[in-house]
Amino acid sequence: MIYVGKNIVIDACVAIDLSIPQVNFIEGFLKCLGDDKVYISSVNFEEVRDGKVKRILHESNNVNVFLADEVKFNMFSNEIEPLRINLATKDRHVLFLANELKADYVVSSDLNVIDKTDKYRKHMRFNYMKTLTTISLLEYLYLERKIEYDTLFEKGLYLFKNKEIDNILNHLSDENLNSSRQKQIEIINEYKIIFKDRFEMYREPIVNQFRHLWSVGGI
Amino acid sequence: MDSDERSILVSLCEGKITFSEAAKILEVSKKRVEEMLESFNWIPSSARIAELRETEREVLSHIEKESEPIIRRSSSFMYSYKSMKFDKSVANKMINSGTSVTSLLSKQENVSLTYMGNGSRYKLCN
Repeated sequence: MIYVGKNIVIDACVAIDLSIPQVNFIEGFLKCLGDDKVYISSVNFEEVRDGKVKRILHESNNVNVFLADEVKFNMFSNEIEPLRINLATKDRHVLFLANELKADYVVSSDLNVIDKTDKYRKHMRFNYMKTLTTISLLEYLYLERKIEYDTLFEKGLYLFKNKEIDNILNHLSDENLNSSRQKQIEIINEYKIIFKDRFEMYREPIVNQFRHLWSVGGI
Repeated sequence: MDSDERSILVSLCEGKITFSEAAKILEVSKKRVEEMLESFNWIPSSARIAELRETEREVLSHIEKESEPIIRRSSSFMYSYKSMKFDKSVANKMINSGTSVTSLLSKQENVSLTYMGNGSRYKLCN
């Protein structure tokens, strides 16, 4: 069987998440890709504020910064509007690029982007453009034997601790907490569910792969 | 952002209305709605997140099956885990010779097998 490298479109948040000091895996990620190629829209590339990370992305042979064609982008936006797949402009560039390239995978830690990409893919009945979150990207690398289990475990937990918890609490801060006690309790209860959902996204790959490793005597 | 605007943006993210409809309700331009959405955080419902996770698990499961030779059970008995992985050399030997898994298990280092039933039959999947 001949292995063909995959085309992976990433959202800006993936590069940002993997490059925070506690995770520090952006270079490791790009080096272990093998035949896989990473694509990022120039619009999303500009969302990466850290000059060092931009340089790493720019200098990697495995990364292509794709200059967005505004005319095509506007046409695509008009095409998806009746489908009610509504994304903010920057997020829509992720979906646009994935569609342009017929990408194998689309990676984002933004569940809104994941949600809309999945809806679009299912509507179009594509067998490509499959969605992965950042933690699932790590699991993908592990399954492809590009990283060891300890990397999946360590980077995954650090991502949860240093990115996911902050994201959830930032989201909570957008809520109107200056409301009745009853309303506050409703919001808190909703966030308890959100927290557990997010935790599950990290627990599942780490535990599943650990169980598998254990079963084959790899640990 | 007031609660009415927020409610319209939630409807937009949930796919209940289009950008044009949101612009009409809010009495602003479509471009303005896009700008408002840029700074608005929305996450799918818990049920939808569970559905997305399930889709991801299917994708990863497919990757796992594609990425290496895996021995899977083909009868109704159960092992305590869903699959076993073999070294490439062992797997190739099995493919080429049609050798049964059980006869090779003893030659495979670091493989432990927990048997939970009778009548085992295996097949090699690549």
